[in-house]
Amino acid sequence: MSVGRLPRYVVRRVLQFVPVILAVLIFNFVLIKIAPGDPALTMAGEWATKEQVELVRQKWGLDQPLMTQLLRYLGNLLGGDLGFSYHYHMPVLDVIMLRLPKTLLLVLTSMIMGIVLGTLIGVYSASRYGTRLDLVASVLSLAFYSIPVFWLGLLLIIVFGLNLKLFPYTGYISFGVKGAFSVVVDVLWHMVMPSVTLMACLYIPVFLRISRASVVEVMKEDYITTARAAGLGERAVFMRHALRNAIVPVVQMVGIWMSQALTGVVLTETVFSWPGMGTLMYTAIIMRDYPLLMGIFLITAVWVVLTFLAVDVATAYLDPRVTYE
Amino acid sequence: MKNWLRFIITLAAVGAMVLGIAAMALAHGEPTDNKPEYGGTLIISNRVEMKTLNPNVDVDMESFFVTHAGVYDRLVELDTETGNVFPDLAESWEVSDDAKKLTFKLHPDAKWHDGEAVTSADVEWTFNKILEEQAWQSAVLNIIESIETPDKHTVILNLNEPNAAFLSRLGELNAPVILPKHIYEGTDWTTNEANEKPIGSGPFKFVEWVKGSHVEVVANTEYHWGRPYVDRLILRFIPSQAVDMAACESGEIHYMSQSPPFGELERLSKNSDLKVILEKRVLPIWVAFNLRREPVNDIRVRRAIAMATDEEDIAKRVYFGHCPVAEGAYLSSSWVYNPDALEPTYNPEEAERLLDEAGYPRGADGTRFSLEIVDSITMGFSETNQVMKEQLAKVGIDVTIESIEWGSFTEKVLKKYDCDIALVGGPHGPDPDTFSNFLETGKFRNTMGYSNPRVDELFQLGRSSGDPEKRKQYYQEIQQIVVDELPRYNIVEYTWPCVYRADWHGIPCDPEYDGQLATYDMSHVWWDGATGTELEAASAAAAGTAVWWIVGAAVVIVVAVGAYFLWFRKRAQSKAAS
Repeated sequence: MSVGRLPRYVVRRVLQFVPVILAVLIFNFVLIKIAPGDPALTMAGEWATKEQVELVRQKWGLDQPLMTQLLRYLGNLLGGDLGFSYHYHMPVLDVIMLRLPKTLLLVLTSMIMGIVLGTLIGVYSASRYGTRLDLVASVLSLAFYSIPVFWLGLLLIIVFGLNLKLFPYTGYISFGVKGAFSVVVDVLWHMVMPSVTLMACLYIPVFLRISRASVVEVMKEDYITTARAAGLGERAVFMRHALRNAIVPVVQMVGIWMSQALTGVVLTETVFSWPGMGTLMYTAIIMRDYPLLMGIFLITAVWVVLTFLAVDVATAYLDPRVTYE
Repeated sequence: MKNWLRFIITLAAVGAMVLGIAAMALAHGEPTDNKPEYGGTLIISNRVEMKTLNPNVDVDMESFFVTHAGVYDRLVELDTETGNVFPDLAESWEVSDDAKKLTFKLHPDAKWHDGEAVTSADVEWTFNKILEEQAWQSAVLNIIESIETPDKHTVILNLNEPNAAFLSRLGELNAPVILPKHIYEGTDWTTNEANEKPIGSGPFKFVEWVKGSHVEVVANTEYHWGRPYVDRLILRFIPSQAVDMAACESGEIHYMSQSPPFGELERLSKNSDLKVILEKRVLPIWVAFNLRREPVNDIRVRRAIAMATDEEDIAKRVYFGHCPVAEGAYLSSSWVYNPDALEPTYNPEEAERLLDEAGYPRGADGTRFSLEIVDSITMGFSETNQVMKEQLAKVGIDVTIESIEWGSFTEKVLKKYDCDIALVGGPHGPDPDTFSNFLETGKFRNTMGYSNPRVDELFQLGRSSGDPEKRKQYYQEIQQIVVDELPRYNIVEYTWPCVYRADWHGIPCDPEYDGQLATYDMSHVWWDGATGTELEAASAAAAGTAVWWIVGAAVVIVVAVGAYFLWFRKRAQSKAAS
């Protein structure tokens, strides 16, 4: 492929994303508005009078026609204003920025470790295809993938948190921790159990199976047979010819899972009281915090499209048959 | 001894030493004698993080442990169970004979946490601001006609009509806290920085709010009623009920602010490290009929449904026998409870007869008619609804259950009245006038559409009378009318399970302090193991423990890697030699 075509490709794709993001925003806006539940009533509280509810409605512009509300929202968005959270009484961007790094820290760390471990085990298992080791790896990966995340999380809490008292299992930081090094260590310590849960239930099984299947399939290709016939050692055959092609499906799977990173781990966050984007979205839905919900949808949509763009670029880099057209 | 073996043993010894030091760092002192001592950190769990630390700006029950119990004062405090009123910012008060004027004397030593003195101007400003903004607590304060502040420590509230219940309303959970005028005046009170870093006059001072994790407050050693025993109070956000319970059982948190499931109470009671207190009846759970709809607008149908409801069965199956059956319109613990005004009892045969009489015979499939019962998942009454469905099916009523989350529930039930029956709960006290929110004509929580001029008149008389005996008569007549007309009926008297660590005392539900403490008063809480210096050591150990474990794990890994490296090298050398 031509490296010089890459910037043009990226720009073109980013421009294509604009109408996609806009469509997502409009669709979600309408969906939220037509869902049952009155945000003015939720904000005013169950003890409010009807007059107080109407005052709240007027204060937040909820009495305006739908189109007016939508256009005002989009107009503010162009100026970088994601709105003001009804529930948290803070700018939406500030609320999201408090939670986003925590989710990214947990998910990306777990995902990277899960991808590496899962892929290594999957490749090794593929190299021992048909043996007992391969069978055990396959069965275990299926078993762990079938286990509900919250169930394993609670089990780990009971064993390692409650009984053995080895790891903390609530929150992301202990009280009174001061100093950068102590904070880093303490947060990492809090991450152990939720990360293990995500790795064991999601990332390791998925990437083990995908990498194993991919390697097995590639190793059956004619060019592998040719390479062996040419006298190359098995290690060279694998590293030079098989791996690069086998890794393409893995990269694409990374993209799919990465796109779910922001709001796909709400159960894990809830079980471990990890203050991330998943629980934030849940709160926004329950409290009918429309601006916050729209902000989360916007950030998530942008994250998804950027992730898929990165995957497309990486795929084109790895597979010469794929071009930037 | 071979060099590599010596090397491994040395590393292992270092690792063991490190882990031993870590174990020492985890050691705690033994608890002291069983009397109040200063010190300790009380960690309370909360399922939901609060929105703001200014409870006057927005409805936020989640912040109460920090705001009402901690950083701020109200004029008075209330024990919601007994109705006892306690001084808070006001050290004394007088209510005029006509119940239209309340005079409060503020504690002369009360100070804001920034050192400024608390004055009557702060109270005046706070109340006027709430009324001006028509904030959610204006429902409590709208009855105020004018506020006078003749001196720095006197506040006079003139009401536009007599209201004997107003004093206790000022101490209820939805009553306003007093805000510092010098911090808020001239600013936008919805975005003032003090909403996140409050400056109050309460027994605790704000330390930090780590979003998503916890809020920490520290004892105010200059509090005008005396510093609290406990050094710190931390409110920790734990959304999962199961984890909340596990955290309390393991000692990671000391007090569950939200109750565990009733099914777990027996198991928790057997844990000697925990105290499980079933607070006296807190609120009734009731069936509210939508009187705008057929067939529930027929009194015979309503009585039949009440008689088809086996409340004992519900109390046993859903609440595991921990919540007593409700028999009257008020809680049986209420001082105005009318023991003669009883709701219909379980009698399915009579229920069938009434339904036949009302013109709803059984059809070919055995069904008389269908009804929809709506409940809010958030309130946790879904199981009650399911048992009711079974019971009503026996008398030929086909029930469709709709269990929805709170936002949808408020719109469907409170706004659109789009249901036949709603299953709800709510406080009816401690002042009996609170019940008027659900029954008086036109009140927002009167979702039934009930209207009885005599009931409205009785509530008005009850509010305006200062004579407890007369008030009791009015409310007892209301109860008789309600059980006769049956716009609603109570099922059980919900009892709030309170779970906390047994080495803590003075928590408001603690039976040792029955009737002596206001609800949410945490200033009398104390810990068996308090020594006054525990706090710093605990904080340091929390961080240090993690560090030592990390170091220990690193040492073990180094030993393992070193051992493998040496073995590998030895093997390579052996191969080369051969």
